[in-house]
Amino acid sequence: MLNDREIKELIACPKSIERSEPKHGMQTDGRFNRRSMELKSADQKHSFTMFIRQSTELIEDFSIGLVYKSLDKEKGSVNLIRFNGSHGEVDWSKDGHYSAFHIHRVSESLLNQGNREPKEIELTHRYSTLESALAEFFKEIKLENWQAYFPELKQMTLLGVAGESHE
Amino acid sequence: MNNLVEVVKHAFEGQVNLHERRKGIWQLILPVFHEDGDMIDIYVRVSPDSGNLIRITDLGLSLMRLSYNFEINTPPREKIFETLLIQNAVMEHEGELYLDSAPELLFQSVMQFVGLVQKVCNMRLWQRDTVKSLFYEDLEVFVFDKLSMFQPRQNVVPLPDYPVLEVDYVLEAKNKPFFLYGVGSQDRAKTAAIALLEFQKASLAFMGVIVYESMESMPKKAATYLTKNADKQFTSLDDFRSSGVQTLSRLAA
Repeated sequence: MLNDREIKELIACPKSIERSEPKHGMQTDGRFNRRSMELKSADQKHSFTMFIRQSTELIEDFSIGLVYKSLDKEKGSVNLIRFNGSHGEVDWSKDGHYSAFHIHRVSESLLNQGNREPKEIELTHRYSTLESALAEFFKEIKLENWQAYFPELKQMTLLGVAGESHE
Repeated sequence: MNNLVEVVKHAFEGQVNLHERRKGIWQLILPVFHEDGDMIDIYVRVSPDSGNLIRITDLGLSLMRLSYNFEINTPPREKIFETLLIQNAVMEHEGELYLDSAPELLFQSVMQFVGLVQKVCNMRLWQRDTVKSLFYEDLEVFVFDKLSMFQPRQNVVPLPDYPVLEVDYVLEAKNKPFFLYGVGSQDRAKTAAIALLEFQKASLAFMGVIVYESMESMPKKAATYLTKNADKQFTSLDDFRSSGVQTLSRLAA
């Protein structure tokens, strides 16, 4: 199973998009919009999927995630990190994360317990919209060729609307 | 504890709250959570079908959550999903799950709805459990979705006099077709190896392709036998997904 150092390295290793469905924008699937991507690490050793989901009705409710796809059957697929929007304005969670923008992370201790859900949660002010969350997410996971797939975001980052590019 | 009933009653008091998320749509704030710590999404509104009923709905957020790691994209998965809906008397429309309830049955209906949402969101757990059939389903989806340029045909019998020897998928190529087998068990490995050997004996022109669920988990003897008789092997479905199109295109040219 992955340890904390490996998890950190997998999130932070430079990577690029190999395939995107759809190639640009989002496609509607029932009551949400979606986009999924296949990523590869720069050293070609690791494969990932990245997903973007956003409710069509509650646009503040979105999720961007990075899933590590190990060829090692024991490790399997692991959701390493997820940037979430707000799921509501009042909640029962002790840290209030449900009503705030928040980040989910997986950890060695969770995996050792057999829990593959990214249950380590931190509240964040790094983003406040899907677009700014994407800009932050790309920085976090060191995505190198996002400009070719997210031209609208490139424009926003140039204007300083969605945060700075990692480049 | 002598006052158990009082303690339980007190613990359950005031545990539900409401917040108007959109005009006329109220979010039910309940202390029930997904495995990742997020609260389960439940909303209530007046039913558009009857002003006397209350609609309990997830606004489509359950299937959105499920789609992070899992797709309901094969007939067996659709069947399971439909069965869950029927068993819990929950309706689905364009991805929204909902249940219309009489006001006097609201609490019971909400609990029923919560149970359904948890079951649906946990469908993804089966993916990494020991449900071997999902490997074959996922392979089928990939073949017909991503290898359509090879005009795939399923369960083909190349030797009419030998109907027991089926090929999982025949993929057309310029010179000779690919005979592709998914191998998720030792028995399947044996069947595929025997079939490939018989096709060779019959002098059929083909290229044998094996996609393992996990080559690492395969007993060495079975894998060796297949290695001897197949032209190309992929160690896992992920391996096939990442390099299958490119490799087969190159071999087909």
